[in-house]
Amino acid sequence: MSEPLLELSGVGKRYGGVQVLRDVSLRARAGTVTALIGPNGAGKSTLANVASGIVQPDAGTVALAGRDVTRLPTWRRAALGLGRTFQNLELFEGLTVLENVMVGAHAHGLSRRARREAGLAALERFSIAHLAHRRVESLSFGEAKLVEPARMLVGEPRVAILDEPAAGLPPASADELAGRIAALTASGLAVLLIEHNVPLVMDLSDHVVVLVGGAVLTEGPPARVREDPRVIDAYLGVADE
Amino acid sequence: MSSVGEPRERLLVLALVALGLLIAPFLFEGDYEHGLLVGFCVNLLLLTGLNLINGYAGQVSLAQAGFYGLGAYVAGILGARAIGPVWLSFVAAPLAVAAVSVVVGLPSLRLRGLYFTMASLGAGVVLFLLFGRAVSLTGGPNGLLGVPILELGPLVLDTPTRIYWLAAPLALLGLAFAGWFAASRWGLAIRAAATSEPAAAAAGVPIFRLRLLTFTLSGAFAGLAGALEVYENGFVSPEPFGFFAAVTLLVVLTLAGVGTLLGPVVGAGLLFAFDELLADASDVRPLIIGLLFLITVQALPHGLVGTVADWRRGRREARERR
Repeated sequence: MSEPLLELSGVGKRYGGVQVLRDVSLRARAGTVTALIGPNGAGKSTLANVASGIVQPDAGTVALAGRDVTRLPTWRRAALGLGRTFQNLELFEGLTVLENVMVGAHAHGLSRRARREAGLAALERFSIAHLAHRRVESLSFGEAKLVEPARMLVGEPRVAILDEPAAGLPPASADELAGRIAALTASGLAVLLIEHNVPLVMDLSDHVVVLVGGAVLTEGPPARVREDPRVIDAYLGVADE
Repeated sequence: MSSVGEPRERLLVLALVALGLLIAPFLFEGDYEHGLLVGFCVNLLLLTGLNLINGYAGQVSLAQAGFYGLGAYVAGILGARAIGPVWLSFVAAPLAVAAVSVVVGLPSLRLRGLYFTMASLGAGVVLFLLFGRAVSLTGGPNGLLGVPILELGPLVLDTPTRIYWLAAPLALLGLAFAGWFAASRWGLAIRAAATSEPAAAAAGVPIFRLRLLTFTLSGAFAGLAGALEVYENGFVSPEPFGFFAAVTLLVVLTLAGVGTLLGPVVGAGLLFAFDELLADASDVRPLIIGLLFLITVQALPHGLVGTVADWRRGRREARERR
């Protein structure tokens, strides 16, 4: 098995009196999808924020391709190959779709033309090149949802954290998205997928980590996790209702 | 909300401004008018600098008037004490203000939103107080006397008209630089960070560093404006650099349109018009600026330039959807 590209070890985080994350460890390997599932409030997005440096953990470490990045700011981690999308759309309003995506190439210091071409190529990949010159605030939700992953890809990440990419998408678009994630993974990216769409998670993932109450309940291959009575009890049972 | 437009649009704006600057002294003749035109160029530099940090970086600064004063005093003191050749003032003033901007920006740009604005106001007020109290250096409330006539090599710029021919190209170059910066990789990143810090950081943008750079550039513009102002007037006193000046700059830029290349030009034009039309009624000037501001934020929240740009974009997008 390949070395993990993203490795979180013993991560703990407390907000006031609430222990949001407790001794969480997780690995994402090149060419695989690691899924992080769990009920709302389980700490999934906080873990994504710890991984990307938006939140500093109280305990534990974050390593990127074997390098400890726990104390590095978000932008430095991005430059080292950590890309992410956000649960709530975080687009640059007032900028066009192409400009939004070109920001993703900031760390590479390319010429304007090269950034433009990389941006257009990423938009092509998500079939939204025709929207390049529209302002992002004029897009539909489904269209806007594709701008973030396109922006992330322009940064040529080695690790991609996708925080609920399918949330709010109609089933057909979610299927399309699954195909795109599979293609990304096939290209060698280590994907950490946070998602509530259980069928999508089970189809795509190589490894599933279940987070409940800020701690890892269990982890393993999707088939085994799906059958785990504790997972059904704590999460899947609720999701299937 | 900021916009830089296509390179062709930027060139067109710069060409029109260049043309306007070229013919303005022939449209408005006389020493008094040419003095106002120098004022237009000074205001254009001030607003262009302010637009970098306010418009593109989205960090509302109230330090610009204080920085403007600092530039004026640095240039004025160097000139009055005959420290080095006069042209040195035009290098030293922006550099000195840029250095002070770094010192002010290092702690204050870590603050967010209104807290940064308050810290920048604090910096502006401290500078304003210094201008009045450091009497041995600045002449205090009575002002700094003995600012020499501006001589650049064989050129003696001893009339407003002659100073205008230095001020106009500097203002135009400043505007061109700001346009280039806003459209550059750094400009795009700083505009992005103004609307979403987490997404910009996750895209690899070093937000704090870029904001510090932008604030420093903004200060350098104010420093250059100050140097021009002091040689145009031959005198400098603290009054024009106080709280009211800081607010006026902010209001005029908002009125004209923040985050657009043309905004500072329209803003400087508005100030020119106020000076020209209200020359004998300076008491009501604040009242009129205040009323115009109230009307603008209600009716045209993106300012004059922003509203026209929104309207044009709306039409284009409607056409594209058809």
